[in-house]
Amino acid sequence: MTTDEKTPSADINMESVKEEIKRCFGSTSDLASVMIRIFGEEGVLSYLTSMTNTAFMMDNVIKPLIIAGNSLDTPSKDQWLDRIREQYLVGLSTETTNDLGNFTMLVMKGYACLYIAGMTEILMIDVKELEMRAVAEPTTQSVAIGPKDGFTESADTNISLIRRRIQNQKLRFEKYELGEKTKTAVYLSYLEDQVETGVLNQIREQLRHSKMDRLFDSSSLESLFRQKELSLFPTVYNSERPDTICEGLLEERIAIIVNGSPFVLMVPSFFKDYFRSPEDAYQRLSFGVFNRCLRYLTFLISLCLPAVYVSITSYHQELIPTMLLTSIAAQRQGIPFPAVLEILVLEITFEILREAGTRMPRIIGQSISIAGALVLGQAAVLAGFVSNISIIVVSLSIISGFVSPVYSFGARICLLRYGFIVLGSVLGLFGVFLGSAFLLIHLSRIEAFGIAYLTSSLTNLERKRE
Amino acid sequence: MMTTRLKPFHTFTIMFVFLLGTSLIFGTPRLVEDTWLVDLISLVPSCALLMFYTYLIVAGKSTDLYSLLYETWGRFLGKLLILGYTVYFLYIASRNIRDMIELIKTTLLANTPEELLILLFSFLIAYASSGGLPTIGRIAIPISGMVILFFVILAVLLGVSGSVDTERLLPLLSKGISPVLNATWNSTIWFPYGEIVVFLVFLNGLGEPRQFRKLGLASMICSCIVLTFSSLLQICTLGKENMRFSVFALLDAARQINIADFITRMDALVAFIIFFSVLLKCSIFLYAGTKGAAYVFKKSYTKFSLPCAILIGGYSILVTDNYAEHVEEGLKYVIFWLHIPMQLAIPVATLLLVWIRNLKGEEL
Repeated sequence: MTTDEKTPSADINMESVKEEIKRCFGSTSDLASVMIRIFGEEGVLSYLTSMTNTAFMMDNVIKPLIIAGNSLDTPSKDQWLDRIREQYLVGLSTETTNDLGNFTMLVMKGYACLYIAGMTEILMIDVKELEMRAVAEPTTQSVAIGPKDGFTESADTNISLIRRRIQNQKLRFEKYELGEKTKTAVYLSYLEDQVETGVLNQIREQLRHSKMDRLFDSSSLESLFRQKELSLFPTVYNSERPDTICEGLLEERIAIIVNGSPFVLMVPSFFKDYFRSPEDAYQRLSFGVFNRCLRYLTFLISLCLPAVYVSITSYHQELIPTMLLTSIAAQRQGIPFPAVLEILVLEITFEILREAGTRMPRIIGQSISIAGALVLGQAAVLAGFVSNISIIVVSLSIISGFVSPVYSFGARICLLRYGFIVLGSVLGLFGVFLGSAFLLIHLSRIEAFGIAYLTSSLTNLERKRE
Repeated sequence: MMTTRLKPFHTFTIMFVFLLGTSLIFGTPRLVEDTWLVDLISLVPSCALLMFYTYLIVAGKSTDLYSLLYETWGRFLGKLLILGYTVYFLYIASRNIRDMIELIKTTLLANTPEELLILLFSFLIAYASSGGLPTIGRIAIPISGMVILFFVILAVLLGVSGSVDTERLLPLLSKGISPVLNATWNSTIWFPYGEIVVFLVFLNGLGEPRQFRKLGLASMICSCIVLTFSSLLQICTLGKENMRFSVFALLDAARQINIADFITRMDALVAFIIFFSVLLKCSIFLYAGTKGAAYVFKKSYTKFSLPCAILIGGYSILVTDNYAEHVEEGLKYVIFWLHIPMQLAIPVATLLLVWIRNLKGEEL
């Protein structure tokens, strides 16, 4: 069917509707077409069984339609559709279309189409009813104190989780469709009047002009919002926690919800965000502040500790207090590798363990921990491959890397650590200085949507006040 | 042209670190005995110098040094002077790098080829200065925090390890006040305080001249306090005689730290302070230099960042054969042949010219 403009209604008849459905869906097994007699005429009801639930269809659509068909009520032809909507399908959202080229799109999204012979319009009934994972505790960003619900794969659920927290008339959701092949629903969420319009328009523009092929997870959107300065540091925050996202919305930021992804994005995000946990606010202030300082400290430890260890043991032994130096030297006696190699090998080993730990089936998790802890840890020391102190250094740095409340941040920062180790092994502490200065300059140069990444004030209001 | 202004706090910290930077270690000449008095006294003429600079910009009805020079001296002479300042800034930057590298070689890396260290450092300052004033402003805050923190740590550790003895301050002014005043005039006004002339180049991004003057005075006073304190600390730890013959007095003072035989070598802290403050200083000089080149050659300043940085790096090796010569050059020739003309003579001449032009303009 070509889309001849302006006269689609003339083409609508039983044959053409059936043909269009057949043309679009072919012989897919999840297409259901039910023939129903209504008001004495033949009707066809088509829907995708995969987008709805049979019991729901039977109770809410098919049964009422059969009742309508059996009733003695015979309204005039132009009242048919209204009568069906008002009396038999009350409560379901419906719309009519006379566009033959387009109604199959709606069928694909979970509408049922009802066509009655002789009508000029097709009635579309929203019957979407999908199985969803229930709201559960977030797995990647857990807290000891605080709300335990997390986002799910359903955008509707996620929107509801946000709306029920922020009961504010200014809260808006804007819908977009991304992905040429997948047609994924994407929602922008923000508080109108408060959000910075420049950033909002920039994001709208980028969403509109995305040439994405597919979109299964929100993290794929991050590449859309890539900033001018190439960087390992994320400028798009993602969270499974509704309370984090709501906090962000109140800080005048924009949330992006992608249907099918339990991770909701928040833009723009700054360096500071990756050290904040919602839990900080739920605890005594002093403890929250302490925790936050601890996170910054672990960031430094995770980055620099192995590098500092390597540089001091290989270049600046005089900087170590004598007692400690003898203890380190005694441990390293008999170790065949230079300190760099030892640290690098251990780091890689830990990375392998981490990767294996996340990918493998949960059931064999124990064997990995035994192999990791006993074989690679203790046995390696006993065999004289590595020294105890380097195991301490490496494990401390690895553990510190995962303190950040946002997993993706910690995981990316790990990469920088290797750079530091190499610098420290070649240039000693000077190399570590160079590395940290580079990092500092780099962080100062990054901007998230035109706002400095190292900003200390999170809301526009604060920025303006300054 | 719209330039994004820095926040006042950023402006203050930039100037503060800039003034403290290298002078914490290389600052006051140790030929006189009461260095801390030199530090204290030079504050007064230096503040006057700053007032003069801001007055110059206001009188010239200009927004920054380069456009003032260009408008006052005309096309040819103006460009020549701008280039002169560019070279001057780059030269100072390369001297700073040399200072830093000498210290690194003494404390951390004795055997590593300095060319490698300098090359990497040059890349770093090119990266910083090509980010422009906002980047420099942002890095200034953590750097100032670290410099102050580590300096305080050093002071506390020195105090705790019992190396500080205030008796070493005596005798005060054993040779009268004249050597102190002499040292003030001969060096401390011009370095570090006079180098603040570099900020006139991007005054536009720092704030109104009036605000700049206020912040400049504040940062001068703050850094004067820290520098005086540092000198006092060095004298009290080392004594006047030792200090005179010490190459890096603060470093030698830091080496006196000994707490329970465990916290002993704090060289790394000193190296850290110097590394980061030289980084900031060089980025500022490089930024000012590239701005000058950009003004004359009408190209974006970012294009000059890397070449100029490498030039600075290369020149920092070539500038002198050894460190003794380097210090000699710094104390004798640079001050009379570079600092005084660039920081005083040319600005004064410019001001005179501005006055003359204004008078003529009124008559017409």
